[in-house]
Amino acid sequence: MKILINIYSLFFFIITTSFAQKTYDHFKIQVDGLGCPFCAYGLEKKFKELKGLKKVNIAIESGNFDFKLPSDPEFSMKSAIEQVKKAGYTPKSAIIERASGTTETFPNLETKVLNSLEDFKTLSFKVQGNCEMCKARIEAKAISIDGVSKAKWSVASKVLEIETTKESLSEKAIGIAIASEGHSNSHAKADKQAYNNLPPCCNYKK
Amino acid sequence: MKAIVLLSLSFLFINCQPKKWQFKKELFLKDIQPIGITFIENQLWIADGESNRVVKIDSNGKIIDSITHLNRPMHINTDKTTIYIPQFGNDSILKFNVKTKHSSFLSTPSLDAPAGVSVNGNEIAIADFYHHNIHFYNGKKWSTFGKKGSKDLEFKYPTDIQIINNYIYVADAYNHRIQILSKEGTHIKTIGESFNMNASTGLFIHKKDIYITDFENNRILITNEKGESVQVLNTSIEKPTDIIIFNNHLWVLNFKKGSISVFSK
Repeated sequence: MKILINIYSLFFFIITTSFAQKTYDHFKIQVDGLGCPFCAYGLEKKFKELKGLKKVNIAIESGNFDFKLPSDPEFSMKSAIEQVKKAGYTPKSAIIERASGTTETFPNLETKVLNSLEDFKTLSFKVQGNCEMCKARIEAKAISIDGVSKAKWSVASKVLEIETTKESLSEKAIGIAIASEGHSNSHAKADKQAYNNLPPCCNYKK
Repeated sequence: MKAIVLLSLSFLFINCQPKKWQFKKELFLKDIQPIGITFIENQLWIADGESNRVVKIDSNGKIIDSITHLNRPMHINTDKTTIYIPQFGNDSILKFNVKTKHSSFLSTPSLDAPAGVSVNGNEIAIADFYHHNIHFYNGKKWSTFGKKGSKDLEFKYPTDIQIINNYIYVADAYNHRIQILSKEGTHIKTIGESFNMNASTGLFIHKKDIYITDFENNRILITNEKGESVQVLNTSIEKPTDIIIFNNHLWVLNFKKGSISVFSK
């Protein structure tokens, strides 16, 4: 009798544990520009405040940001990326391994195909920022703009260099877009809320 | 004769100048990303935030002991027997007795990512990163000083702290300066605003000189108590997070490289 009870208990334990393991979606996100430990670990800490979040971990060297959330197909890749951006990170790529067994991926923003047959022009102007995290954010925003094929921001000189194939794209339009991320520049002032949301190391002097 | 006198005077003058720190060597730490440094019983201990541990190292940088399962340890400090470890990730200060190996939590006001702690006899001070303030225990009770901002007695993400004699020195990291307070919480002085620092993340006070890690500018600034520049170090310095004088040498933690740059006079 005792043996039967033990077998049933073990069986019950295995079933419930299996259920528990299968109810989490695993997010693996590659973030860019991590350099300051206070910002990186601080943002990891803030992310932990998300309800149900499990096993949050960030590795500064590799830029790997890992966490698990209770399985919810409604929490899309787009939501995940927005959440990471809201916390101050700049995602490069992401994979979600759903509890259901499916996998979703987020493309790498840096890989934009340059059509060598198109003419391009180079623009450059100053953008305020402080650190590698600023660099990642500024460049990611710039390159997300339609027509921009390359973007490079220097931490030292604060100059953003853009390569664009779109004749009609102006520095001002790019500047406004970047200001929306919290970075004042030669063409536009930073959105106040976006600036206040920047992580500590990105709080450049206005 | 005149020449001899002149030469002698010059020689005397040169030797009376305070000696400067000279780069001696760089110790590469295996698998350690150092954030905080302290010493106890003539041994160096380093907070390794990436691996959630505090390690004891020998003079070659080799690990000889460790305290593990921490939660993002930052700028550590000691009294005669105990290492005080601010745990950035779980808002606590852990006390670890190096003799008994017993650990306990320090009773503190509510914290939000403590980044630095200083112990001076029965006095304790804590730099509270996300609260943008500091907490000071005078042996009888806790007081809290400061709030978020850029004016005097306001802080933007303070990361390190040190109690020296009658004052509390605060690394006001993202205001890019050092603030000096009285133990009653009044503002005494601000240092470093004219030096264009970019993230003054760590500090150490020694014989009235103030040593500051200028994180994003990859340098160490040394000022006197008036805030005047005494020396700037940038040889083999990369993303410095903390600094200490130990056994007459200056030890600088390079976070990104995982190394310690050692200077001597």
